[in-house]
Amino acid sequence: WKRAIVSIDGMTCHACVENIQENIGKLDGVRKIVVNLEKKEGTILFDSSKFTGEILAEKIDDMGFDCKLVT
Amino acid sequence: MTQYVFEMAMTCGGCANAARKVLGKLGEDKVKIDDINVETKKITVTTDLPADDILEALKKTGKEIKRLQ
Ligand SMILES: [Cu+2]
Ligand SMILES: [Cu+2]
Repeated sequence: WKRAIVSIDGMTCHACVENIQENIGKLDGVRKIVVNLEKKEGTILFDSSKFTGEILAEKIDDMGFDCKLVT
Repeated sequence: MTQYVFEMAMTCGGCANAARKVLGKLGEDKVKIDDINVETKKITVTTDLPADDILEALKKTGKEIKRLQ
């Protein structure tokens, strides 16, 4: 398991947070995702054989938020 | 060019921005966004692309979406 921290721009409320957590969290290979609205940040724990941090950042970006991998 | 109207379960400005962004990814020149209204939950676009392409793009936001016209 690996941990990625991503920056997420464009969220305005907790519905946005939950939307991202739900859609990314249900992916097979993602163990946990916690999104912080105030910090505009997401922490994702994932299976490194299935994803990379870049791919997960891209998936959030594809949902319509500006998302970049931080670490 | 055809105009389509979709209903998306938008609840805030973040949803509207997300809709704008996923539509933008189809190509600014390909889809003209006529209106995105969070109150009525309606998204109106004018495009040469098939309605299904627009629907698929909007689905990526993770929000419930259907075509009205
Ligand atoms: Cu929101
Ligand atoms: Cu929203």
